Amino acid sequence: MALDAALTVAGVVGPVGALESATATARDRVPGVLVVALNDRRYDVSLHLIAAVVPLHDLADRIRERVVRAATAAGLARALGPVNVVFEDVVAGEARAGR
Amino acid sequence: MAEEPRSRKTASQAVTAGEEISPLAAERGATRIADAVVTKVAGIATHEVPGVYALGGGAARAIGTMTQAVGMSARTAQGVSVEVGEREAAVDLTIVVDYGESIPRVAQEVRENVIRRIEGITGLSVTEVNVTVDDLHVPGEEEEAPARVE
Repeated sequence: MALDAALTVAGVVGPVGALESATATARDRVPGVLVVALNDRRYDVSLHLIAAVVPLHDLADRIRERVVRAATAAGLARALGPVNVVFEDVVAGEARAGR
Repeated sequence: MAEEPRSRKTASQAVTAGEEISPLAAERGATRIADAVVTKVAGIATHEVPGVYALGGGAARAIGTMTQAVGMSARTAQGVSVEVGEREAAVDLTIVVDYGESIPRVAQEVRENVIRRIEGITGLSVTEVNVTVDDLHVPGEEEEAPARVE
């Protein structure tokens, strides 16, 4: 859900494909997302992304807002802890519109 | 560059602990930018300046040509070395300038554009941009001489 929400933000090109930045679920592997359970029953979410060459601080804020909105819509707002955004790479000429 | 080395503690942990670690850290989560991003932005910004023919010294360009051919590296990363801290970055560039261009003007424009782009895109403060002009590009110099015999 967090990754899907992030990918709808214009300027996000995609997740990194590295195995160390992926979360394995019972069904599949989610690339670019690391989720850590906190001791207050919330989950710390880190998104490892490739972005277009745009102001990254503003982009991270938009991603965070979108993830919070998606979690709220799914009834998971109380479980969502900090949303960390890690820009691993940028791609020139890829100011892709969100999905 | 006099700066504290990057903390091993994650940004969100530090924010929770009330420490000041980065302007990119916030209550709702931290933003981290990989060194590769700063390197690539510096390379793109350098290429944007008129009079810059290429990035990298002779050996770096030769190796870069091979690694780019097999998709192992980007053209924008060769000739760029960055040191990135929590708030600041320092950049070293090696460039080839077109013959006839003013080297001081090109170096100054490269410096200004790299600072503007890195600060605008990453929010990091650029403390220094060191530019080394490794060579001059003379048009036609790299073209092979025509064979004298068939």
